[in-house]
Amino acid sequence: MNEEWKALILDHYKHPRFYGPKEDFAFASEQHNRTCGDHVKVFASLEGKFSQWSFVGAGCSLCLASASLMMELLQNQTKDAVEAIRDENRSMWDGGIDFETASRPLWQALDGLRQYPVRSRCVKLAWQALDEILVSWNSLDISIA
Amino acid sequence: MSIAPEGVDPVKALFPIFKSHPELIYLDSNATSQKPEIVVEAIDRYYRSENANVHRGIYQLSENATRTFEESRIRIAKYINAETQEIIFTRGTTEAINLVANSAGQAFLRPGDEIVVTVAEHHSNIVPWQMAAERFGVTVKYIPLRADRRLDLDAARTLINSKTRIVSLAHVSNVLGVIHPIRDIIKMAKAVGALTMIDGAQGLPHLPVDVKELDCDFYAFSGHKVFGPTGIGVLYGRKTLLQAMPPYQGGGDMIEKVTLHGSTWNELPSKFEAGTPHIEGVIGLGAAIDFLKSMPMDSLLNHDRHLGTYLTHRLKEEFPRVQIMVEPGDDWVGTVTMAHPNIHPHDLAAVCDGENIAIRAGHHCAQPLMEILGVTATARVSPSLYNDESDIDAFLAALRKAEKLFLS
Ligand SMILES: Cc1ncc(COP(=O)(O)O)c(C=O)c1O
Repeated sequence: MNEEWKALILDHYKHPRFYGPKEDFAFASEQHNRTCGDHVKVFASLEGKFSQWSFVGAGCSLCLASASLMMELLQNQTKDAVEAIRDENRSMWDGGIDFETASRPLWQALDGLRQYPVRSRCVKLAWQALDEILVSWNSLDISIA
Repeated sequence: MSIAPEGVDPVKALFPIFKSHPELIYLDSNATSQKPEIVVEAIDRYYRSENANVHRGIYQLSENATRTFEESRIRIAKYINAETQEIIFTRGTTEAINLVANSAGQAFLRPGDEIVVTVAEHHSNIVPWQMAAERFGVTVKYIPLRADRRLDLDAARTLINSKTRIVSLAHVSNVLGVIHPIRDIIKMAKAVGALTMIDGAQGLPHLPVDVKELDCDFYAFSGHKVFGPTGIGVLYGRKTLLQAMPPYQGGGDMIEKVTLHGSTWNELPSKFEAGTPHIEGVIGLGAAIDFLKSMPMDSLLNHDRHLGTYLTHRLKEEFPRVQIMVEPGDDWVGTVTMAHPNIHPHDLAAVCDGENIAIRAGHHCAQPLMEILGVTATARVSPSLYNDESDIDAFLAALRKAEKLFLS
């Protein structure tokens, strides 16, 4: 990881964005990494089509920075946009994104991590929560429709 | 800078990994040890000039392979003072414990019996017993630790009682590096007629082992932690017990006669070694045992304990925030496990990695123990004979760097 991205990770780790529980959440998901005890809980509330996000958790720098960076990406997005971000994140792990030209700093910051499978679990924790939330969000939409 | 106490050479040169990575500072020997040249050579020689299946061919090459293979068994048996037939090759400690939990379980466990282990065990000495408990209708009991993180022998005295059928514990804890008082526990078990199984994964790398003197029924270890190859380990079992136990797996080598209606079992040790064995693993392990024999074990132990003590003292002086899990002592092999209130062990390990220092971070396959220690994960430094004080100094410098990074 280069110095610039290291600094970004450290910044988000020390000053996590959108940190704190939500009272009025529509969805929440808590994920644990059993190998190190890290845990992250992600909350989402809805205002019409738009989503607001926050998280709480304890973990290493990558785990918490990843959650914090995810918050920035998801804030005020519609479900379609959230799903697109989730898909982009997935394809990053599958090697489907060229990091040199990647638009999102998170993807770039996390380049190089794929070679550390143990730590990739730290990074993915918040994203697993997102997966679970999207499942609930989708089933909510189906039941409303 | 002091290197090793008398009797142990500066040994990095014996380990080819340090030729490939001269900058490497390897402080994770409890996870796996590095391999000396003679082990690598033995494996290389086998594949280049000795490869054939064992116990099968009626031709020179196979007979030679069989001889080298069986000579390894003899050397290992001698090293731990067992009979040759009492040495069963397994994939490692894990498989050895599973073998005992299954086969001894089938032969000796009855519903209502109790198995006693300790809370400080590696998962491989907990989970197979929990599975056996399900299967045979028995219960698993746990010997607790005292406040100083040594085994609570008073509690052991009540836990080990007439209901106890098997007592299984580590010779040395992989997280704490504490040498358990296995002689006392074995005596308690004998007194109530229980079988004893010692997980020697961290014992053999640091201590001389004489299974007859210990008077244990089973003793297991892994090749890869005693300077040998991965994928090979040993189960020592008392002959009379092994004879009374059913086979663990079925296949070639382990049978005497097979008909379409049934089969009869081969003699020991073949009864417990189904299929083509890990031949180069056994040969490499034989070489590793030769290597161990060439090391005076007490200076090896003193060396590792010295490095662990040195690290502990410097941590206390220079890093008062760091929580150290045990105090050094005579019953300790030098493993230093720690937690930093402000630096996650993963982050510490990553900073160390940036300095070419390998340490372990995580729960070390001992989640129950982590819970008792009140931490979810820790960082562990486990020195071995190829380390010296300069390696510890480098680790401390990396720790300082991590503090700067994460505390500023
Ligand atoms: C005390 C102890 N027991 C058992 C094991 C399991 O050994 P293996 O994975 O080689 O089977 C280990 C390995 O870390 C260990 O340290």
